[in-house]
Amino acid sequence: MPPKKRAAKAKAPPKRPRRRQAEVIAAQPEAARREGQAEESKYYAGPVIQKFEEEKPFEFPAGYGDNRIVAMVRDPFWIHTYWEVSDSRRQEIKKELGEEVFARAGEYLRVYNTENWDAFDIEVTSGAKNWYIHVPHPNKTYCVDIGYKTPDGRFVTAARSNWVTTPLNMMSDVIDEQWMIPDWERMYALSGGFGIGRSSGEIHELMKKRFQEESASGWVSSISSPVRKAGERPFWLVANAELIIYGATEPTATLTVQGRKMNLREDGTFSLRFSLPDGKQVIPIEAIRDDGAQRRKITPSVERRTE
Amino acid sequence: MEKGYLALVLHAHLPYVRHPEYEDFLEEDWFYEAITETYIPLLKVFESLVNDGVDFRITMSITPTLASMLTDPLLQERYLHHVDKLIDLTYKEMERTRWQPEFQELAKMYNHQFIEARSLFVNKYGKNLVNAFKKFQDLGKLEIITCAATHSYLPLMDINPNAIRAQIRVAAAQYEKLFGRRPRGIWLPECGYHPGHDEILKEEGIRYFLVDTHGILHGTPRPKYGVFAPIYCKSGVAAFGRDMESSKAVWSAVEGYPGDFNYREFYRDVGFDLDYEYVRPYIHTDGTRVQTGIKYHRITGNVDLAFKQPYVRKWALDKAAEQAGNFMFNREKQIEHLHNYLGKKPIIISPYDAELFGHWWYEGPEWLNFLMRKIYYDQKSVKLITPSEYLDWFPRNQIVTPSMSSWGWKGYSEVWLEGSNDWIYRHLHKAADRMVELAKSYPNADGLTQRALNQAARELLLAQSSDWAFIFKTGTCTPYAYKRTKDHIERFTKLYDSIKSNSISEPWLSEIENKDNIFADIDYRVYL
Repeated sequence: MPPKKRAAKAKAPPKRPRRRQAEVIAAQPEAARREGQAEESKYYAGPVIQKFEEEKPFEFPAGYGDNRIVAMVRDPFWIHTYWEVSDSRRQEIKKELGEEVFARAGEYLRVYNTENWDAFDIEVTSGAKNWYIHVPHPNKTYCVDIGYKTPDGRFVTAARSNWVTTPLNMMSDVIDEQWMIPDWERMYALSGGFGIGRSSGEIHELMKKRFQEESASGWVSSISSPVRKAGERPFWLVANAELIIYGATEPTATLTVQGRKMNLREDGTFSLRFSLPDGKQVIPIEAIRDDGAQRRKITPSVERRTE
Repeated sequence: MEKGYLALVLHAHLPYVRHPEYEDFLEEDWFYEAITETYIPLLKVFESLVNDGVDFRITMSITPTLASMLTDPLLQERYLHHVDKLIDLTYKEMERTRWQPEFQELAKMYNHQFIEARSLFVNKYGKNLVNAFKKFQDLGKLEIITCAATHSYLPLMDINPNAIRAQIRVAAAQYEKLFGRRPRGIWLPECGYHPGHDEILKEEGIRYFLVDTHGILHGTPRPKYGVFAPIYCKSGVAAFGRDMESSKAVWSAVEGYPGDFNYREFYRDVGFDLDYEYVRPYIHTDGTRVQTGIKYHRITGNVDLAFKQPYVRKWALDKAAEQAGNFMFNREKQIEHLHNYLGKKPIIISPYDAELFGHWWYEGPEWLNFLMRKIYYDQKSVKLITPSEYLDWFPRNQIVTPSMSSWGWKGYSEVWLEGSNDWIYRHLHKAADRMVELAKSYPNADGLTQRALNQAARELLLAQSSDWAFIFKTGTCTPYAYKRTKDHIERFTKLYDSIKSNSISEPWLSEIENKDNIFADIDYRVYL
């Protein structure tokens, strides 16, 4: 393979802090390991800390000058919205309400059930630009207004969101009669993989539990299982020993270490590194001249005893 | 005669990580590790089954980002460099562990594995693993399905249907180019389904997608056969639902197979374990310790990392065989029972992350190998099938609209929409709107403007990868996810401004075309 071109200096990778082994191992406590980390292992190269230098500073804009609110469904009971009220729309409202009333008006979200236009209001912290909204019903279509509410209860809409429908969190009530079979509950139980004979009530509870559980312990059912909060690793120490044997002979000689032939560097030097377990190692090192006429032998022995 | 069917589905995906501007880039290692540990081992399993005359069926999504990386010459060369270094390290390890035979044997195992991987990669597959997988599709053993172009989580893009359409259309076009036919199925990223998106799949001729269990169970009207038969959306596109029981056997932290104490421990790696100066040449060039893939220990038990015992390959393989037998037995029982109960042949859909096999669960490919052989030789109730084969044989199915769902934690969109990552959608949605605006403003662009528009489409797609939101959520390598979100939105915004003001800088455009070179043939008109 052709040698890689060196990256231009200006673009050299930023220095990352070097971490010692101890810190590194400490960063991966046992408790964190087996709980649903298979998925994240894809993105795991080691517990490293990276910093990327900015070539040119770019800031995400705080807004785009739009007058807009967007709703997204998070799950059967939650909707997320983000919004932006343009200056011109704000001025219009100010004009409509009068400066004094506007100053005392609060920013509100008005959440509509589009079936009957029932609504409820949420006062949002001034300056907030997004909000999670708890909605009462799965399988209902909602939309959300961002606007201003005056002290006497008048609401002026600044922007209205798209319509969003929360998903069902249980079996549908809709039964296609042509397809009717006698035991829906049984089918549901079987599909849930929870074993046979449970009632749908229980299954429903289990599905609900899955949905509500704060941690996915025991439910590593997906690629996106959460990281379990890592427990503290107790105080610990790791120590190991390695042995380096090095030396030199004629570059053309044949060298054996414990009877195994070793390669010499071009200048006749050699360097060997061994993991050293407990016990005694006798290490005969023998050089034989290329014509076989001369031999030299050195036999160090070492003993490791770990207590 | 079989009593039912099992569809094993592997979802192979990596986000597009390719940094020509850096000599050595940490996050590219995800890809190199997956080649050595997952993709090549899977190919070896398929190869051995074909050679031994074992008939099998398996379905794999190869996401467009992964396919792009697998066919990228720079990354192919870099993989060789990566594996060469590993091979070099294994030779040193075989010496270093001379007085510890239990480790030396493993050093030899890795040496053999890496050399074989390299040789297969270069000599057998000509560095192109997409073609390697295609061969098994052409043989009728493997069904390769596509995914959204950059693995974008579609339910949270529902506000802009054109952007969803572009994700699907670009994916289908790439699939056709690489595999010589249209994709029959799609893995919706994170199994994220939103009612109505099937209409977009239909436009591309896609026949089916996969959803999580509750996507079918909570569909409307009630599904007659639960997840044990596909349903049709009103569009006529089929949805297959995940079977929980077989999923849990592999995924569950408590009872899942990969947690067996005889299996290899993922977190003990020589990259962290050995003396710094010694491993220095094999870790990241800036000196950060990283995983090498050389791991000598078994899970052992619920003990501290320091007390892990040496890995014994034979024990691990025996366990994989045993668990494959267990999995098969359970499927037989499940299918026999369902067959009696339903009065028809059920289909069990068992989807897994492909990278689970080999990368995290080192013995996973062997487990799969044992499983497919056992199913072929040892029983008659269960037959392996692909979803499209099933639809060919059983075209009559109930019409149900699945409920919005994903296979993510809690089953909906919370993983990709929570405190750590909700801020990105404001920018992603705006960029998507702007892209549609550009396409409509310049429907017949040519020259530099056309190039800039195509590049804007690439930047938008790359920003939309669900991986970034996922990484924010898990906190595993947040600075990188932030960098990617920022880089692509920044480049997109700059393109948008310079196209509108007719001030495109050609040198800069060339530079980002080279950096973000995914989907060479893209046509920005997909946003029209």
